[in-house]
Amino acid sequence: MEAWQPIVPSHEVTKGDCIVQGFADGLEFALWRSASGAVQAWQNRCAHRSVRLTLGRIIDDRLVCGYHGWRYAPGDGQCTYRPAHPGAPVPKGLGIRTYPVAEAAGMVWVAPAGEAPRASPAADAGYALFCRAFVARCDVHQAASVLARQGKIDGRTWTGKIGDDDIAVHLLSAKPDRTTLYVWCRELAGIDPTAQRQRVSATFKSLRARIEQPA
Amino acid sequence: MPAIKLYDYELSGNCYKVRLLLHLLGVSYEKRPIDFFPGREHKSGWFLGSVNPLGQIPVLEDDGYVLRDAQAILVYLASRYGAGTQWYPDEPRVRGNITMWLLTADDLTRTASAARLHDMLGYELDVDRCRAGAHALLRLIDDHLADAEIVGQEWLATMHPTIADTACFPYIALAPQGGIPLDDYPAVRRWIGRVRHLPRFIGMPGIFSPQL
Amino acid sequence: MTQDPNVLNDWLVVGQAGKLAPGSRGRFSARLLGEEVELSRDGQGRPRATDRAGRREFAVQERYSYLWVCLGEPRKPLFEFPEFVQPGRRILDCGAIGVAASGLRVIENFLDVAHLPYVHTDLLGKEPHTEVAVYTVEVDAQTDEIWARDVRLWQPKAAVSASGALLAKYAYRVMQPFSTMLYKTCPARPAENDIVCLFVQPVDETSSLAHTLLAYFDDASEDRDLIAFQQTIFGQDKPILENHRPQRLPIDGRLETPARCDATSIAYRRWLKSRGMRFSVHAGN
Repeated sequence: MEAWQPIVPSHEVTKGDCIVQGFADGLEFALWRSASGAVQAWQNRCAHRSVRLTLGRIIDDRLVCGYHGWRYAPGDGQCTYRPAHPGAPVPKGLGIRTYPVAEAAGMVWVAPAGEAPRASPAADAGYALFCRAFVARCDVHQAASVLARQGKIDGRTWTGKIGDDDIAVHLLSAKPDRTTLYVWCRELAGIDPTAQRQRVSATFKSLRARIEQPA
Repeated sequence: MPAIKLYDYELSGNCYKVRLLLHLLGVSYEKRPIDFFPGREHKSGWFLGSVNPLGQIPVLEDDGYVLRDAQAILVYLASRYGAGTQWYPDEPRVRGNITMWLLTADDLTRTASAARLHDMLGYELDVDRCRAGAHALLRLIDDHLADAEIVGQEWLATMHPTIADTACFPYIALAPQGGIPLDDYPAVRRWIGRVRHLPRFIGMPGIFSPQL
Repeated sequence: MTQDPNVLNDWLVVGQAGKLAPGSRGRFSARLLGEEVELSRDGQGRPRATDRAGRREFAVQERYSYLWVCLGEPRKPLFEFPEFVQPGRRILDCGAIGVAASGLRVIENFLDVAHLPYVHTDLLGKEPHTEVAVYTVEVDAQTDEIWARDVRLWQPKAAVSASGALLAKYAYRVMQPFSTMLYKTCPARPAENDIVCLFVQPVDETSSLAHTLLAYFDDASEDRDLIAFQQTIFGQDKPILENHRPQRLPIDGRLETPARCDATSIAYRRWLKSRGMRFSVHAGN
């Protein structure tokens, strides 16, 4: 289990009423951005009756559970209000399990093991253009072994070439039978970055097919 | 003042997409509820005889004009009450795209909606085949939306919402109720969030509105 | 199959009796506790329940418009429901709705009142009327049924027959782990209660069929409107019910934290624990 895992691109977690469901290392996360701009990575489970927080809403800088409207504050994930008992103080320690989270290289990273590693996360191979994420219906070992046949694997990062493009792929074990593949490419002179990202995305689909169905 | 009557069932995604567009367009209407389950009123003699011989809902009546088929109703409403708006523009490529997605909405009815009818209302059908078909469509749609995002497009047919989005939204958002989780489709989930935050959006039982 | 006597030796609903044609025609199969049960009528028109192979016979009865099956040895009679035959009451089955949830979670959701402004907004509740005043809960020692009384709720539209907002009074009764009834203010006859029954067929530990039966005083509303209202309510609960993780009900440990408004659910979990409930219960913390 790697310490930091990229989970979603930063621009997908917007302020306001946006709660993103994320998967990493067999865990499920509810990701949102507080009014201060800080990304939150929480266990996707309300402390009350275990309903997924991703069914809730962000209102006035609180995650409001969709079931009973319990409100949780950013930072420590503590419950601050229970609408059935408006006057009553909330017991201390009642809150959502939170995870260490960081943003770097345009991605949100979480530490699924629950402890913030000393080093910050870093986008490997330093390729500038994030293309898109792909979900492969297989475990991370199968994905890695297929990719290893035509490039270089170092830990959870693969570098190689598809067509004219040098790409770096970070592999994330989302679930035991699902791998998320984050694809970056090295910018090439003389081609519009958007066109390059489209090209890489189009070509990568056949690689995804081979990853899912190795010959 | 439109004299629109909608033969409607609260839990039907195809009826909901018409209710949704009516709300997005700001057009008022009257509901004529049909006892779809357990009553099967849509297969009753009077319904087959005087409303829709195919025994399907939704059916729209507008001042004497009667139209069946959810996708056709969306086209009519957008043309009649949304002229000059974004919902059904007449630019040829966009219109071609919209039509393609309206037909995909029918594919979603055959797959994702059928699986939901099986799980929720006990319909007897090949649910495994329906689920597999739904997953194939969802992957196609997820790839389409993820690739569209690369060029800054956030909607199915073009750079703004159209009836392509309202047509496909209900059965995609309800897919989990047919045993089809959306875990593998992050771009679809982002798009669902965008649809839910459209001005004048309404939900249905099973799809929460962002407003309380 | 489960060995939990709480479900094996109890009566479980399998569907509307009307699904079996009168006489000896008609049959249907139902899924119960992960098993297939075949329902039919014998030569005398009495209901019959067997396993799929037709070899094992199960105890079966027709009651309150439903068929009830016991896969083991029935340890007590089915609950009493005198209002079912009360003159003037309209009895209406609202259809069985499948839900990918533990039947225990389905029952507990029915008993829950704090979710009404959030899940059934503008119908059974609305902000800012979210406060749940204290109500009483007790277990009837004679019948071993749970009763919650004096629940008071402000409701924008409590029922089809309600013409405006009203303060509804609720009482809940839990007769079995998978059956419950709600007695609620009747807008048409304030001295009476409308009754909503929820009989859950536990298909397996994480999926259920929810049968809803209305026993109402309402001469004005159409069947289809009453059914639509109930299905709307259940349809709104469905995504909540299908998104509990863990799916099974925790009755032990500190996994979930109730509030005082959850008095009925607290009693329900304690009641399940005291009878050693294992089926559809979450093991561990």
